[in-house]
Amino acid sequence: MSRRRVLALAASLLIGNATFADPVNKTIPDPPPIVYKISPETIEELKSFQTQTKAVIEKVIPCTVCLRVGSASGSGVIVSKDGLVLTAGHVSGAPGQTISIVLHDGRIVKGKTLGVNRAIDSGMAQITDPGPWPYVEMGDFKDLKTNQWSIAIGHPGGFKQGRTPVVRVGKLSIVNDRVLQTDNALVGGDSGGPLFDMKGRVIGIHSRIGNFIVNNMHVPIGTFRDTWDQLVKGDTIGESDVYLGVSADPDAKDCKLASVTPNAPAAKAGLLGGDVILKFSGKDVKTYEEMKKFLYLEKPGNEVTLLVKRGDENKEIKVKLGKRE
Amino acid sequence: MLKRILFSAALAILITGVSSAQRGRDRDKDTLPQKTTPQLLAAFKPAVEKPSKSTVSVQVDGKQVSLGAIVTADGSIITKASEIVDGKLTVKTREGKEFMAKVTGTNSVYDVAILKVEADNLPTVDWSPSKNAPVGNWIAASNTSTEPVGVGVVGVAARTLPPPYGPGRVIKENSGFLGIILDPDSASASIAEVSKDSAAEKAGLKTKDIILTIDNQDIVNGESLINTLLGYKAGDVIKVKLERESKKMEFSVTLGKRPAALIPKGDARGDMQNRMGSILSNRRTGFPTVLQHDIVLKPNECGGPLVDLDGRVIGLNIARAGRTETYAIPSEVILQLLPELLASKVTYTAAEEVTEAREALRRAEAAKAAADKLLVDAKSKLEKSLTLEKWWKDHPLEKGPAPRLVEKK
Repeated sequence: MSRRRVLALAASLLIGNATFADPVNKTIPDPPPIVYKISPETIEELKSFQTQTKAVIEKVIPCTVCLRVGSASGSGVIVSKDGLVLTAGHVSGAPGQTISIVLHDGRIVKGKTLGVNRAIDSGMAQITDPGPWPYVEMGDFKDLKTNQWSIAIGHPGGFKQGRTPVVRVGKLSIVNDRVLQTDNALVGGDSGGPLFDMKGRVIGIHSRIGNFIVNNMHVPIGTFRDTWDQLVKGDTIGESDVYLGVSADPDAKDCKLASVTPNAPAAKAGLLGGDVILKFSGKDVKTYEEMKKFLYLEKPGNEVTLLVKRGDENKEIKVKLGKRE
Repeated sequence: MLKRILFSAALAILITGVSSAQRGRDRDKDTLPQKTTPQLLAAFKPAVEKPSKSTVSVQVDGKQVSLGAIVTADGSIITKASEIVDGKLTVKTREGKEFMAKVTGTNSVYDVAILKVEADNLPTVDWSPSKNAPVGNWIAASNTSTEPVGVGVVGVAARTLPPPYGPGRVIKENSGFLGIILDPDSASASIAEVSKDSAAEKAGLKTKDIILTIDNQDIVNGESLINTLLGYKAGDVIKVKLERESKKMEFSVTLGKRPAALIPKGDARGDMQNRMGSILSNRRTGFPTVLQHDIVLKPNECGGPLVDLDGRVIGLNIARAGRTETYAIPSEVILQLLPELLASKVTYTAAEEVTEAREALRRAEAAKAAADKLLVDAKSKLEKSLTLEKWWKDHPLEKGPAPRLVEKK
């Protein structure tokens, strides 16, 4: 039996698959007011919301793709007529690789990986077969608010022939310039797939999950705009091989650690799960993401001083940073 | 090995802490999506008003194991079969009526069962074609109350999954092993590589062969091949029909033993992620046709109607299948299955009736023994209190409150 978990499956298994009109020039109607409310409260409001959801889906599903990079696969979304694809950094990986891109209907086209930001997990790829390709509009980070409705699309578990890209509706619960969190449940294979607002503009790229159904993290669209030229050029950004060996408590608003990897530099220095990092070498740390930014400016072998809150007590702990293998 | 990139291990640990998965088990796993507010659930009340009257709670020994849908006025109910365990089987309607129930028919491929209760004039479900609910439509899982048990959207319209169908198969030590690597870019079960000294090589299988059937069972793709082979043991001889350079050929292959390194230890990575955030149904694969949606249901909330905004029942929820998916059997399929399910008369043998009666007697005796013990304890406490009271009366010069036998908490 094969070791490979095969993702390419047979055709013609559909009984009720939706068909989509040519979406290249498709426009999505302006959303009804209900999509900006906390919740629909009547059947009529639900129907009005639903009409908009379907208009968005009809446009964006044909723009959602599966990326096969070497022996791995994830999702992505086409954002230009000539086939530029946004994805997650851990899906596209190293720039310049030849890849297969599976369209929503199972057709396979050729492509290559472009730039990657390893720190924030953004990535880009280019379809190299001739276009034009259907594409989605990009949203604006400053429009994003917590509690706003969102639509997630992707290929959970990898591309499956006969299954259209999978739709989930949810809400944003965390919005900052490093990460978006929603209750649009994600799982392996969704990575790199698009998160949309109710206008059908891509506002995030699926990146990672936490323990609970409400912990689904997306790379915010803003960072793609901020690093656009570098990503298009094929640069590697934010690469760091520095290693601390801690994990964040996904429910914490501060920099609380969920756990410390045994024998990692943090563990050797005496950090414990439950510790809250207050300062990183003298600089105030409010969130885990912020701590990571400071961490990535360091080099393996550097010694940093962490001010840590443990219970009611504050402690200074010196950590000699390691190198990620 | 073709690893699906899931969420890169390094990133996940770095950022959200996969290592805290363990920690998650100690906490409430039933966290609902934040979109499921009281207002949103209340908005669906008109949609589930009628279907909820045809929804029942299926209970074993007084505990809900699934929901069910009433299909005939004289008391036939369809539900998820594999959740029904041994014990006292009852169903409870939205009105609060409770009935003893018996399983009279099952279909193991779709994992559904018909329960029969002694009743008449029960309100039955009106099944509506699932094409009425395309991708993106709001849907609700009706409950035995005015509000649904959960709401969400259709994620994928009804579709046919690859064979084989029926209960899931898992990789075991003695699972038969063919020894090929499949081509991930092919839609069929196409061989990319034949492993050295493998069963496939010995039998003469080659790169680019497309496997069509195994012992006359259709192989439509790689997933189908993997699952079909899991039904065989090492040493089994299988007949492989394949296509080589547009010619159909047949081979006989003696399956080898799966190398120890290829036997997954515990949960595979994808399975681990799928288990994060909700509890999955035990039987969640092998259904030929499903509609997929994003309502987060508990395993004991499957088996009931799936309803659209117009109150039409478009399917029967059959499994919480993964972190992102719940499966429903489309109405069209339910309507095809019902005649046979309803016709099958499971008659209980005399021996089974005796076993059931003995079991009921055993439960009654256990309840009686517990009640007897309570009675003895109560009598003994009364006797002791009376003795104490008497002692207190006999010693009128003592001051202070009467001592208690049992300290008040």
